Amino acid sequence: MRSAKRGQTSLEYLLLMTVILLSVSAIAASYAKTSSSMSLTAVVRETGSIACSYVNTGVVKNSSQPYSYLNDAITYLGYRSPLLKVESINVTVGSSVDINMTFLTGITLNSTAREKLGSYVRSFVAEYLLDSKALSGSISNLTYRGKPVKLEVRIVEG
Amino acid sequence: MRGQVTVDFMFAITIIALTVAGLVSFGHNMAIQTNTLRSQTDLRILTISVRDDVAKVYAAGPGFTMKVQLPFRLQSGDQVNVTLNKTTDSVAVSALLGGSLYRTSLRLQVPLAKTTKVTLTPARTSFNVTARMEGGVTSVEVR
Repeated sequence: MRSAKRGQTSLEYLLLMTVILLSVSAIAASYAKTSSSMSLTAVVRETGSIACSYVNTGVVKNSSQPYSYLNDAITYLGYRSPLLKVESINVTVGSSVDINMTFLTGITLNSTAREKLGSYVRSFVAEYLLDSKALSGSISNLTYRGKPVKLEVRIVEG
Repeated sequence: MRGQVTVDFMFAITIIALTVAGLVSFGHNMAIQTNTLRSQTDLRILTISVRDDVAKVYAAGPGFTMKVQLPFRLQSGDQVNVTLNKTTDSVAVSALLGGSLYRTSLRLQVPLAKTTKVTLTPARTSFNVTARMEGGVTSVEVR
């Protein structure tokens, strides 16, 4: 690559590397900033659809942390399939982070049942995002890159 | 430069190794999730078909039997329990598949006269749903 005679890096090479590294870091930083809400939306959406397909089977699998919340939801519904699907996801990244998830259910549930189901799904999403390192903090105190996160899950009949 | 690995080469190997490790862990997680979903769906299908067969057998009346074949393959060590529960009037399926415990249940559309249970293993992958006359009422049983 370079022909330094005594293992010495030439000045031009150092200069070139500095320019390259600086431009890469400048581009990467601005890219990361603009795409943070996009990537958060993608991972939240993915988590939402994982929750939907698990709950919709109406089958409980004995397993550890994140899925045990969904198991609670399934047993609460009496192993009925709630026919959940992701309706909308809104992620706003500002001084704090707002995540609003809305799910549609295909069966008739009263408002108490919907609230209960929503809180189980919310716990799952929070725990799953903590596990996959998309968010940090604890389940009651979520943070995203140091900003507080408000995670809301709503279940509506559709 | 004989027998010596260059720094460039080591960088390249490191980057490739990191990428491969990331891909492998992602694929591993995906495989676990997909297998779970498949087992869940298989068991749900079994539960729904047993529920429907119970209703058919009840409608046909005493003396009628339907043979139910397990709709998926069991590995050694796997086990599926099918229970017709009189107290909850439901069909309950619990299974041990690949070392994990699964559980589901569905309400039946017809009344039961007694609780019956059947256990399926790789050696036995089918069972009968039978209607018998017992004490003046039609009793649907698995055996």
